[in-house]
Amino acid sequence: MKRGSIVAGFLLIALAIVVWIGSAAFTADSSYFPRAVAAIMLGLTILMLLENRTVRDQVVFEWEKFNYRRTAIIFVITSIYLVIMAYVGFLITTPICLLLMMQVLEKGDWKVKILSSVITTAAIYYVFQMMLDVPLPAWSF
Amino acid sequence: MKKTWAMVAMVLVVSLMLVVAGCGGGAKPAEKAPEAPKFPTKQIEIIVPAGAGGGTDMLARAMANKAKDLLGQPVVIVNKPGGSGTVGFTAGQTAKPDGYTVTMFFAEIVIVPHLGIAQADHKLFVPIMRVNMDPAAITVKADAPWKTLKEFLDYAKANPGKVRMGNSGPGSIWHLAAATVEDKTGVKFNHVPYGGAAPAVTALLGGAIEAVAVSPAEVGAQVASGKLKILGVMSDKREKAFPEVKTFKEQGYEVVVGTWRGLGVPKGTPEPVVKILHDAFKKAMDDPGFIAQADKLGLGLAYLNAADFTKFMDADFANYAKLVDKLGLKQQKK
Amino acid sequence: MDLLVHGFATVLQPQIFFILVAGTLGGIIIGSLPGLTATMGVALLTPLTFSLPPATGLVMLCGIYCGAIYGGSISAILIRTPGTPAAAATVFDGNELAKKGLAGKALGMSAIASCAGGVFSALCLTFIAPELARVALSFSSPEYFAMGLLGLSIVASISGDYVVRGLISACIGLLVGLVGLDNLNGYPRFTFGLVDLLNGVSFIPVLIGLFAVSEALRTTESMLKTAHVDFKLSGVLPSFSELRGCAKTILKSSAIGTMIGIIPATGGDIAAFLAYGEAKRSSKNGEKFGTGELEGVAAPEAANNGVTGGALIPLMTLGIPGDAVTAIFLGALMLQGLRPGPLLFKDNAELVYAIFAGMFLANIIFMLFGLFAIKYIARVINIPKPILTPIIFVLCIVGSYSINNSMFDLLVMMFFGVLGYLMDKFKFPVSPIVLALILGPMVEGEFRRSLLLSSGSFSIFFTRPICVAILTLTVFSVVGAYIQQRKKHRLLKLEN
Repeated sequence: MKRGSIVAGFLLIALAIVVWIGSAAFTADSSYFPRAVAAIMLGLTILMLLENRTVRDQVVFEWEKFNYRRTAIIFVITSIYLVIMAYVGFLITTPICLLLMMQVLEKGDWKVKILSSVITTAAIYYVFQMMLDVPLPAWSF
Repeated sequence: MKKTWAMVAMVLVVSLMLVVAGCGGGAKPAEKAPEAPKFPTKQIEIIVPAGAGGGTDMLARAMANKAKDLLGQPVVIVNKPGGSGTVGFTAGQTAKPDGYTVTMFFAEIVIVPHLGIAQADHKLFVPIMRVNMDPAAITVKADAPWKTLKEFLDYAKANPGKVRMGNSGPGSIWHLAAATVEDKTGVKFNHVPYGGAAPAVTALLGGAIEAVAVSPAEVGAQVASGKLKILGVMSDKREKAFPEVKTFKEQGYEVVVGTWRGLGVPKGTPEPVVKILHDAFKKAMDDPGFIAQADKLGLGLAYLNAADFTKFMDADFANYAKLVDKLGLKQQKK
Repeated sequence: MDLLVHGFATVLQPQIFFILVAGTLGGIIIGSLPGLTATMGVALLTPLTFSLPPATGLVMLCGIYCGAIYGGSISAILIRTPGTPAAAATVFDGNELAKKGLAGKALGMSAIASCAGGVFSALCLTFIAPELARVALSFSSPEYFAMGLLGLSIVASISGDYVVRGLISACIGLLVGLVGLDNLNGYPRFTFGLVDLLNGVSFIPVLIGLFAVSEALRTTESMLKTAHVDFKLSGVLPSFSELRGCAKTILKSSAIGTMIGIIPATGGDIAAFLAYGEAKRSSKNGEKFGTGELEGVAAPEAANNGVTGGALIPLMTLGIPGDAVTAIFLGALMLQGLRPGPLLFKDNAELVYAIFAGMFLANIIFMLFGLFAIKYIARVINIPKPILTPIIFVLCIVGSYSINNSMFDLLVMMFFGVLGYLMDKFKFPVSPIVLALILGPMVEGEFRRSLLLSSGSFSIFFTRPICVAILTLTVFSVVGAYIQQRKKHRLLKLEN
């Protein structure tokens, strides 16, 4: 917690400084508010760091217990899905992506997974594209 | 875990294969395309660079509704609001020039480039046609002390910066309309930008500002109920809906400013395709049902063919360049 | 009164009634899907009304509007994804209740409170609309500024135990809200030359990212541990005594919602936050808000549906659209050849009262549907997490994409998803970001617009009674929160 707060604190201070410097080029009217917010944020962050000194060090999460690997895999799959969907379209990528994620989260039980991913895709497609005419990414080749 | 990874790999390979297959499949018809204008064969998108529910959106939806039967394919509206239309303009001008992405652009496309904030450019579009044109008008409260435009402008001249003039956003067409009045008559307003025409009209009703420079349709309901009055419209002829309101010209001021909306496709779209689109949308425009809808919405239909529309836009473009320069609206990027 | 009876008679004709029911149910579906907001639902279905008779078409739009605002709470409660921005505040306690296995109670409370709020506002709309409409006109920039500040003052109360961190989060939200063209002079701020940022960071992808994606990412960590909890409780409805306990909150929140609805350019999201803040301040269980209090569901839900009728007041009486939805209503009315405003009541009284009746009935319909369907809807929670979580991801993505048809918005969603996930790890509350993002642009813009109106004189903030009243309220709210905080600290110290 303590260490985390310090890291966060420094990031926030950096952000406040970047905003302060970044708004230097703005026309006067446009720069007051961002600068005020940056200054307040700087003050609050320092306050937080000071408060932090008196707080007992609590453990927020233990890296050993923290299953970041699966979270990271899911994140990567989602990111790839976003990129591929832009080109290949919604209908093909979605069931594949769903199946992949389900498989990463818990192995086995293919029937349920295939069924639910296909039904989900079809339902979303039906409501958005067919019923409401909201276009989803389509095959773009 | 190993099994999972094998599965991941397999699915990735399969999807890659699909991508490759897709490329191959899609490329063939493109080679034959130039001579055979078999168009359209799939759904057409109209980019509306404004939010759902506004005037531009309604116009586009009403047109799409008619055009889909004429083109034999679905015509869907894609709203891309933001940055006075810039987001949608840019998306439209960089779309694939195959005629399947049509953009409904409006007056701001010849204004924003001068503001120095974005790369929108009307020259990157092949215009199909102009659809609509609405003049600006100066509207005040019904119980305001000014009875005529002259009285109003004389007051504004005598009290520079005292008349608060609401508009629909900085650099918007209504902002420039008010600025044009300043330019042509030598008065000085205190411009107050709002987040659209409706909030500006509300502020006028509440007495926060003295006047607004928006289109007659945008104050229609309040004028009809006797809360607001229009002093003059900035067009060549009087408005159909308000035949008793004089134009600026009639009152001795040479001011003609208005917004307009038109359709275009990205530069490079094949000529025959543009023609098919033009014919379909022109037919949609001539449909009595569509005309009735536009009438009710207070949108003035003003067709111009592609050539005239281009000239019209070029003239507006040059005009606003001077005006923006004069007003110092350009955003300097340091 | 005769006219109202007549209005009900019109709407209860089988054909119109059927369309109203269909509209309301459609609205619930639209509202509960992330990314499909009430505004979008009404806009998308307006073309359908072109070919319908005026009363039928407008009544259908009423149904969609009311249904969608209610529907937003369903996904907020069940999967921590506010279906519409108006349901953002419902997440706090609604989702906590669902996690405790009390999804049924939360859903039931949401249906009842939403209906109460909607009916309250419909009553105001029907009987005292012209009187209330004056409120809409008395709000000018200084008042909006003051109201924005009042809204921001509840940051402390939605930050839980970490007030300083909550305030820092709010600052982050304010900074995010700065991105885009300056509303007053068109200057591009922090856009990094990206066209996609000219209009600012889109709100809905941020909302979905911070609440839904971060939660889904969290779920993936501990997937197997919590997969099998007993959810038998999820069908239980709120009891009569629980309802009675919330009655005061519901009534007050309905009034807040209706008032906010009347004021143009504000909407369900602001109303819900204000009502939540007020409920937390005045409730006996205020300290437990955020951990799964039924009152914490009742307040925002009564308020956001209170907005529905309220927003129609300036539209019908003055012809002013108060928000995006009513702007579309205005268009729909005009397409039917009607001009909202005082003349509408005189020339088309039958239609006006049919709309009023439609508003009443739409609220009743979604409540009945909500209560009967809880048993089935709540089952969403029983879907095994390994199946449900990927579906939530896809829903988030589709929702964020379709609001502006923008791939860039998907990046925004992912960014804020990860940010929300990390912030939670370091005990920074995320909801202040959302609140500041809604209110920040309003506070800054209206402050500067006020000074434009007054030619630079600050007296404009101190000479207008309503503005002074709201500012005073804000000061009280901040001081009150500070004192409460001090008390809490002292108690904690004593315990230690």
